[in-house]
Amino acid sequence: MRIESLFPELCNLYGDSQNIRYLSLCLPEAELVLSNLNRTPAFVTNEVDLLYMGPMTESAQLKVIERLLPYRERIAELIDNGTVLLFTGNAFEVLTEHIFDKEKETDTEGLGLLPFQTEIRLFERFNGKVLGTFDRGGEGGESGAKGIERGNGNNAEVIEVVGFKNQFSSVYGDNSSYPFLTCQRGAGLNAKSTFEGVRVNNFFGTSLLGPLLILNPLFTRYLLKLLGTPNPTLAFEADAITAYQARLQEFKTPQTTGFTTKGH
Amino acid sequence: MLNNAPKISALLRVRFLLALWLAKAVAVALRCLGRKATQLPGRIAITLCPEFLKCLDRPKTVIAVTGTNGKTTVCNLLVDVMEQCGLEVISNRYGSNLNSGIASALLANCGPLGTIRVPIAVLEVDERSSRLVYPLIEPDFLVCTNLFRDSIARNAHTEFISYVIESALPAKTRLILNADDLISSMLGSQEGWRSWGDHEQSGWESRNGRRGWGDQGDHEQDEQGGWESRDGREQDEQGGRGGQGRRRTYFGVGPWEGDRRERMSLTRDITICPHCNTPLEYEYVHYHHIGKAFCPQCGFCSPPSDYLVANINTAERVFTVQTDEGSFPYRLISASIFNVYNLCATIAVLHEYGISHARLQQAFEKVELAQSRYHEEVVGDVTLVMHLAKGQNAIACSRAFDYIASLDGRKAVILNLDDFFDAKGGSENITWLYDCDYERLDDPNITQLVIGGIRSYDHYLRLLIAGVAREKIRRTRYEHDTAALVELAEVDKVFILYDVYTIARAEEVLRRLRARLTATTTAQPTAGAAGVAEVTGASGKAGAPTAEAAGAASEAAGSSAEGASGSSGKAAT
Repeated sequence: MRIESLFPELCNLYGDSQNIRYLSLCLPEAELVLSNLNRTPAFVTNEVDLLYMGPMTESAQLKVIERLLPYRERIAELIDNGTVLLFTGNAFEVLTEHIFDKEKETDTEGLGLLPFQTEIRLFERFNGKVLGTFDRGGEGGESGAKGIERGNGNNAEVIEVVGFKNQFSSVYGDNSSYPFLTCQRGAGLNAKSTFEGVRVNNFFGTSLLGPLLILNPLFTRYLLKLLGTPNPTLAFEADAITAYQARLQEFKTPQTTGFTTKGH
Repeated sequence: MLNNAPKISALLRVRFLLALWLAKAVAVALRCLGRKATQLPGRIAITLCPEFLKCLDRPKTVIAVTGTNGKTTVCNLLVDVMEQCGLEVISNRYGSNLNSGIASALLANCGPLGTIRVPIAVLEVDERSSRLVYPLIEPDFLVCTNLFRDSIARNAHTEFISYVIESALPAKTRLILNADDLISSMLGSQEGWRSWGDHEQSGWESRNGRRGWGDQGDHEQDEQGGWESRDGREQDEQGGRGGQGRRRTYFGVGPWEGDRRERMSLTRDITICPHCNTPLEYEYVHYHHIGKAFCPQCGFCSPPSDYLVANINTAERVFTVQTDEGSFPYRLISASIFNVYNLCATIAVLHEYGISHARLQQAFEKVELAQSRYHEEVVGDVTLVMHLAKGQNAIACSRAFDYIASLDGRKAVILNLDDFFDAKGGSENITWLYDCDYERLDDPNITQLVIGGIRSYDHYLRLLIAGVAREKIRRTRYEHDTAALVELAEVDKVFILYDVYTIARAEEVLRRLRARLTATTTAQPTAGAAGVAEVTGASGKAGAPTAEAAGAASEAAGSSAEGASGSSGKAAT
């Protein structure tokens, strides 16, 4: 199994690089490829099982777009053929049509693989939490049981996902038919949206950031199944699930603050 | 008659005076109530008159200090040294570093018409307040100690903070910068934020025919690029180093024992050359990205230091500062690398201000660093240490971990790092844990790790991922309980790491540890086991400490172990 992490020297904000480290702990036999900006990414000429890119600064987005533009069709092919791609934080914004920076008054064309527009407002930063449901859509689950998986093995259709946002940007467009999450609390694609991120085949683009896979062991288990591990066991699984359930409980408590839907 | 206040309209003047008088009245009232009045009066003044700081009389010289780490220390040093030199100084050292705190400090020192007679102000400025302070105050000097990745919620990332500072800099402000920090050293060069994709306009100098800052001793470059010196002799036509029209002075620390050639930290800000994207290399790394960097491809590199620390002699507590005027020995007030930078920054700005090395050397003999962030005491055979680590700040915590790991002896580390405010119902964003070098705690001499707080499950998992053996870790929901979970007979030192706003909890943990040790040394019955037994008492167990059981018991009881621990021994005073 080959896991490729794109541009880790740039796309490493907020502890997201630990997602890959955690995957490598869960899949010790997997080959990990770290592709720097100055070398050709492995996915261009080789098969990869998972392509990962983490959040970056707004100026780094421009570098990444420039670097990935020659491989636009290849990325589209990977998405079409069901390869697993996980882009966290603002990484998936490079696939949108335009990135408009209001402060610097620049408008940069993205890769245009997603029918969305990104707008950066440096002094209207968006901080918040998200509690949402991820619908497995019949894939990955064993029993196909309806309801919400609680980490106790019922393997239902819906997984509850928790996460954090910190972004200068909002994305505009209609993702209601293919979101990554349906928000129960917190903002989605932008402040007015209740649908977070995008899912196209096995491409998962989410503005949630940080150690998403460590925070969400049930989603990680689902991801490992997609990667061909039928009965995955996570690294420190029990501890991860305990921490996840504690956070989930907090996120569900009405008194817990910080699920802002203000902003742009 | 105001000395330095700008000319303002009559209407604005009326508004300013009303704001000033009301704020002063509030300050008097607060002080009558025993409050410090270091924030609210300023907040009121700015609310009533948004241009309050601009309208206020201005001390003849304003020195602002900002940066991620070290700004408080540098401010304290500046004030202490200046006072040793017989200078009268206004500062916000006892108050907030936001615009409201600065306004409070200034209005506390002005007359009824806003006149300020004290000639110097030393102001600590939070990086994010730059745009609310610098355009109005127009500091003569701005010291930036360093820029690191900080709290994600507050500061996002370093490029953003660089941009916030950069976009607020008045033309007259002279910069005193850390040569060994590639991020903050680019301030004032118009190099940072905008130039990442536009470096052709940056005006950077060449080094051996290539782009870059040049290195130490590369002074032939002056004729080409115009590096400035203290007295401005070597400024270029545009007035500053790099041809960007701003005077910048650099301080730095030369090679030191224990330096590395590679960065070892998880956070990886500025790892590639901003010009050609080639991975940067280092002549030496002091810590994180602080060191002497260069690009092997295009020659981009750290700027040379105008004030360079060399010859650090920790045994004799002396270090040397090399400048273009010569080498000057100074008393080494603190031997930690971070504080050596702070000492050098202090010397640089005060000498640029006009104080001679001779006077500074004399003053350095008499000043000390405030110890509010570090406390050490020995009780029996065990050393107890309280160490501010700053939760949500991955760098500050990493530095604390690194420091502890570097020490000899068997150590227990108590991690009480939850954010005080988020713990009250915010469910803290814990992404910073994964930027922080918990791997440094995976050290054979760190034999116990005790986690307290509502996020203890997260820290526990983080430690496991860092490679720490499960057997070493204990956790409890309540910070106070951590004191009972340390096996004191097994360690030489106990470190209590805490956040900025949780010092009271850390002091309570220290008190309980002290009480246990005092009880042991005065032959009280098995204090260590008793302490733990009391915490775990709710589950009906005693004997060997079981952290999970202790935590679960406390959680089940819905209270901390305060009562239990309180009965375990008399607190030393």
